[in-house]
Amino acid sequence: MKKVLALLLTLIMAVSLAACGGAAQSTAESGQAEEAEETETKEEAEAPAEEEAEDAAEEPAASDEQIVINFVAAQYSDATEAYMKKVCEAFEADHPNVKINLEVIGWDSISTTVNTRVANHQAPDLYNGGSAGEFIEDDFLYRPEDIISPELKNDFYETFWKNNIDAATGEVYQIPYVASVRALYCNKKIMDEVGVQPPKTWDEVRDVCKKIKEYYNGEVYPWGIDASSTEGQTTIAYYCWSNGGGYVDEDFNYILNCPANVEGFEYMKELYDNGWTNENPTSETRDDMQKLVAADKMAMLVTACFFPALYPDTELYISDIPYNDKTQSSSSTLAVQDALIFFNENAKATEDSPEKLQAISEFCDFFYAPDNYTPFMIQEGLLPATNSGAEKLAKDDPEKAAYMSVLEGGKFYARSKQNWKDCSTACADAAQNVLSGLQTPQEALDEAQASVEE
Amino acid sequence: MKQNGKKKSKFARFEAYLWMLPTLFLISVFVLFPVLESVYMSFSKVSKAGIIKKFGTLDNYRYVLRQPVFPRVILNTIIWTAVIVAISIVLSITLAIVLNERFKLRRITRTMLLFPWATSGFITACVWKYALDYQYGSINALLIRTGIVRKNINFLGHAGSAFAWLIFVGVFVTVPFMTFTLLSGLQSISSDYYEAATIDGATFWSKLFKITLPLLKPAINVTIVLNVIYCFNSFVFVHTITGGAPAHRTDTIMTYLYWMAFSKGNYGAASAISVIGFIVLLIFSIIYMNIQMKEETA
Repeated sequence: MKKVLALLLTLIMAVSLAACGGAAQSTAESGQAEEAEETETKEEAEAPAEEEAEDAAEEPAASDEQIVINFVAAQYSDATEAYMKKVCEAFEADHPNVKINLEVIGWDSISTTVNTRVANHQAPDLYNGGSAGEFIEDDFLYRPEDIISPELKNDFYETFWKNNIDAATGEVYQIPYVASVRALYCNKKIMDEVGVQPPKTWDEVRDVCKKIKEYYNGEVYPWGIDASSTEGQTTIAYYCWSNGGGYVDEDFNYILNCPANVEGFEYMKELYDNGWTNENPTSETRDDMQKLVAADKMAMLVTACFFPALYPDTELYISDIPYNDKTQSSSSTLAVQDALIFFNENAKATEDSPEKLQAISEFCDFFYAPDNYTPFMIQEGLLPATNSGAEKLAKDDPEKAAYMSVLEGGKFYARSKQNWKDCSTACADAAQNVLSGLQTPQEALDEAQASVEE
Repeated sequence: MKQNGKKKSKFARFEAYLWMLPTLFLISVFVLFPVLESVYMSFSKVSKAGIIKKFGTLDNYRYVLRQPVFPRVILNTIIWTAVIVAISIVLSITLAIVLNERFKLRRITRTMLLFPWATSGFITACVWKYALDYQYGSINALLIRTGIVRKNINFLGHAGSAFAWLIFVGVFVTVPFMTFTLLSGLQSISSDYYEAATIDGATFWSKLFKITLPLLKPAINVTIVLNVIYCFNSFVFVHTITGGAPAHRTDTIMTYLYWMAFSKGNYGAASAISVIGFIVLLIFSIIYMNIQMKEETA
């Protein structure tokens, strides 16, 4: 008897597991039955609003039903979730029939999480954290112009909007979300002690590095290189743009192994070989080195404009990324924008009602309104991608607003190429091969070029 | 009474299957289905979003085999697996023999040996990553404070040294499981053999090579096969400690396929890599088991 009972229990357990697995898919089908049952028990009546929202998300929204918008956002800092939640709640207060399901995910796992959901046709409605290029081929994205208001579209910086034009189709599939620029940050204490100024050119970098190394007898790293897997692609932007090279030419063809890039990589390797950089550039990340600069152990680092906000006690000189004055007349700045994309019905396997698309449009207007958007940028140490946001920034944080002029003239990653991920990983691999002495710059960049052309 | 016996025998006939049902169900859902899906994907054209577009192509395999770094990754995986298993088996046999003897604190020693195996792999990997860190690592701090070295050592800075440390960590987490498997094997050897050998004047070494190791062979075989599979498929240590850097020089098949899928967004090629890994493991298992079976029948 005991055995039979145990068997039964085990079977029930297994079936419950199966039921759990199928819950997501069956919710929509059982939605009506659940609604009928809702009136019967008090517990069900008190079920969390989130569960109801999830149910509603599975069904096409009708005009009198609650509209649910699933929004997966990237975590920029520990304060991101709280701020975004506040914005969503404020929007919900203005729109009682709309519920925003906000999910803030860290950068290390956001792409994996969302890509897995997309592959299973469970994409969110809004997603900030990836690149449209990955989803265009499958026709998973709305054209933002079909959703957002013309006023919002016109409010974006033109250079940002143009950077989002997909090279293959000529269409825009993502809108700018936040922006940042890269610059050379120098530890003021170290630079003053040695008696040097932030370098402007490659030769000045060599000179300053040499002086810092001699002064501290190797105890302080003069220069930081991040060629890790997460930031390795920046090596082209930092060491090759400043020599006339880059990722693509004017016609958007990859030029990773062009002579200017090879020379840029040779210069980077020279800095490393002379002992002027951190010991492990292939694995030490930007975050690791920012800590070193803040701890007075590293003098100069090219990094993002939110660095000073992370270490407010560290006094810094801020300068342009040094350039090769033998080939260039000025510096080039890397401008980075994170984008917001809108998944369509193909990625969600559910229909979006016109009311829902209208709600998404209104939410975008609300989020990008200067009073909501700019404080978020200030909090995160980022820069706004809209003109109205920049105007408010100029009033609220004039020091940071100075970056906006730099941002306007900045160059972007070649994200308009649908295989940008291939390029990004190929550049990181090339930089690691060069710095590890496994390949010459020419060999490494030839291999990178071959891999993106496949 | 007789009827009850008949009922029992009928029930007993399918009782075992009923007990196996939950396990079979779980294996089907969480192992078999993903494996089949992966094989299917490896022969398909897959979009960057992971959607299968067309079945029936070898392009993913061709692409993987064209990658200049792939032979290095295979070689790394073989070295990583072979060296960890070889070192671990020697250490584990030694430890198992020691732990099989009666001595004070034996129970505590056995418990302590279990810690590395019982701790989550990710936690172990994180601890070693920070212990080996060039800037702030505890090993460097210890070496500096004790005056053994004057300058921090760059343990993970070069592919060779980083890979050696990965193997060390691999051994560290493999030895406990191996030791306990072998210890259970040792405990099943009758003490009569040793007593008889002692009366005959056998030395420690002759007892080891003539009694212990031959009788321990079945346990050693199982341990080797299990640990080859475990090491071959292990992901968390390499991924956490080096991430495959520099330039895939410390990558194994598992970390390389993760990179291929989630950094490069090439799910088809990643599936092909997993199938290639599976075939390599299958070939090893068949060859190894064949050799063992031949030895046993000889």
